[in-house]
Amino acid sequence: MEAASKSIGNCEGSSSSLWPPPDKRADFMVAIRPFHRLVYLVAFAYAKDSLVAEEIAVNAMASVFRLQSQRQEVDDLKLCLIRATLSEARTYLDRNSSPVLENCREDVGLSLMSQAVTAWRPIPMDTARNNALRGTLMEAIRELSAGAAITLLLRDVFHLTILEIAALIGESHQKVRARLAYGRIVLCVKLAKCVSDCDLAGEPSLAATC
Amino acid sequence: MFSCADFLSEFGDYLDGCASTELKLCIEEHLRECKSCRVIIDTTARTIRIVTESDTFTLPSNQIEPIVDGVMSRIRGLES
Repeated sequence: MEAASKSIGNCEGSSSSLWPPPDKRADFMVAIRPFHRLVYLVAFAYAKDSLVAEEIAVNAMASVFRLQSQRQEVDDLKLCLIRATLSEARTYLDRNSSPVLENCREDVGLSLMSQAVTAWRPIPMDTARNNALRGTLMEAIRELSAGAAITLLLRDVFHLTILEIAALIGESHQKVRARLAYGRIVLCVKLAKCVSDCDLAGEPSLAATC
Repeated sequence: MFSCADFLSEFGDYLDGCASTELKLCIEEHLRECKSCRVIIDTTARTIRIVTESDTFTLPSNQIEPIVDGVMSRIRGLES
């Protein structure tokens, strides 16, 4: 955690004496465009609230711009944005005295396993079902602990390695693996229920038990 | 003896393709004998595929626009 905080600290500055010209702003906005979703979802995973997540995302991107404007090195924009987002999220939640977010169980025990034992059938991807899945996935992200949700997103949606995630969130490789396993199982259980609930016109369902 | 609990703690690496040869053999041997774990690994693999390949985590433009506007406004504000 300490190492991560130190790296995050490098992404923050206060001087604006080397402010870039307007075209640099435009360049920055173009450069961060592919990462809007990443920043927002990481913020949401931490904050569990869409409006707070927006505010954290804006603060994080602005802080990275400030870093670039001070001509500090940004070797990897994606990682720097994630660090800044985590830093902003922690700051925001500390400031607003939010409840502890790490109190969810993250062990993959037999009780959770028994819930997940459902056989898979194909899920047709149409708009209605995609919307239902999106809602379910966001609900799962909201229900998971911040650590598990961020780990799941960074690994399975944004394809960071376990080692990168461990460095970013300041946790051990083993803990990241455990959180990832827990998050994936929770998502399986949620998706099984969603697909069962929103099954359209008798289409085959994920939730058919084996 | 490789148990279901062992499987649950290790199958992430197997799914990610980064399990050691020895671990891979243990998991595959366990999967041959354990239907529950076969269902778990199959379901988890397909869930990851849904999350990875579908547009389920794509943000609609009405969610992106306030963020973009906010960033522009913030960096303009910092300039002045």
